Amino acid sequence: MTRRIALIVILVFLVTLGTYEIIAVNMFLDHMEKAVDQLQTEITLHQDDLTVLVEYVNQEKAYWEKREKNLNLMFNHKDLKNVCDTMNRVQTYIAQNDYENALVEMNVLVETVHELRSVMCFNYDNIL
Amino acid sequence: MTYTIIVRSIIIYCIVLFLLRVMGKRQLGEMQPYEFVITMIIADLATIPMSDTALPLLHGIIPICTLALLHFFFSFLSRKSKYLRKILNGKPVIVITPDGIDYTALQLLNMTFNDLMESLRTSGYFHIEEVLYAIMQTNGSLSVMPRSAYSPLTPQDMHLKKEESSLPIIVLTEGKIDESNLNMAQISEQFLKQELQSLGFSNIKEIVLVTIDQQGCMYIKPKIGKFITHKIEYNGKRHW
Repeated sequence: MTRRIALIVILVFLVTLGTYEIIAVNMFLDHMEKAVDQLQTEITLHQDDLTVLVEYVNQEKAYWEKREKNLNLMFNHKDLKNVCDTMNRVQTYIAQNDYENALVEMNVLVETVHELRSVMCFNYDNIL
Repeated sequence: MTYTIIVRSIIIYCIVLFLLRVMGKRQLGEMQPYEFVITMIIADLATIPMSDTALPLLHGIIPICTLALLHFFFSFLSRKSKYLRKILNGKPVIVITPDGIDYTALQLLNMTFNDLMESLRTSGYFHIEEVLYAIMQTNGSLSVMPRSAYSPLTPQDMHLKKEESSLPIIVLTEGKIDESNLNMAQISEQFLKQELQSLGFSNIKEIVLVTIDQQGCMYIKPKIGKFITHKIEYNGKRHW
């Protein structure tokens, strides 16, 4: 009886966790991917005066920080730190109106965020 | 960081202990091949998230839980299907027959004569000619059936009537009375203390072990000094 209960508990735990991860991570990554793609376009559009994007970057940084704690449960902390560090650099370059560096770091950020999805996805590549 | 690792280790330890308990009580040497594999992998997996704090603890817990589920699944299959049991566990192999050692069977098991001799000695047989059958079980232990001439003499062989042995239970350990066993033995705590007092133990803390069997024979080991045996008056024989 105890064994059967344990079996059910483990099964429910794994299914709940897997489902939560798929939903939460997908929602988060959808938002982040859109946000960084948008920011990349905005940087190109406002290359003369990047400071108009400061508010937008701050908002996205706040969104990231709010969810980072939860993501630590599922993501490798080093991957999250990479995104956070790159985001900090983008924020700094935008505030300094340094277009060239901001664009380079932005490209890195886009790549890093897109890579997070490929790391977390349930697909043949990751399985094998 | 130190505290993080300590807490992580405690969590992983508790989870692994819980899962191993649920998976069933078996000694390492008594495991079937699939159980052994799962236990080995679990042991290895458990150590990774313990020390690497960059990894989420769940990355250790999820595979461990998955392996536990896999274990339940294989155990279930192994119980339900004779064919799958044979695949998962293998089957016992007779390595010594009345004609002597079966060399082909030894080769099949990838065993040397030295391995066989070692297993025989562990089972208490130092000469191969004493053995009628030896069977290598699926869990890796060797079961030996000796030839009649080398079998130990039993009371039945001598047509002797011997009283049935009785099972002793622990009623006191390290100065603490085990109430459930005391109830099983159908004696009261007060009675036990009186009996111990009559033997010169005024305080039960002076005693490390007291057992009692179904015929009322007590074994008392004090902290200091030699053990004593004592028989208490039982009305008939107790059963447990």
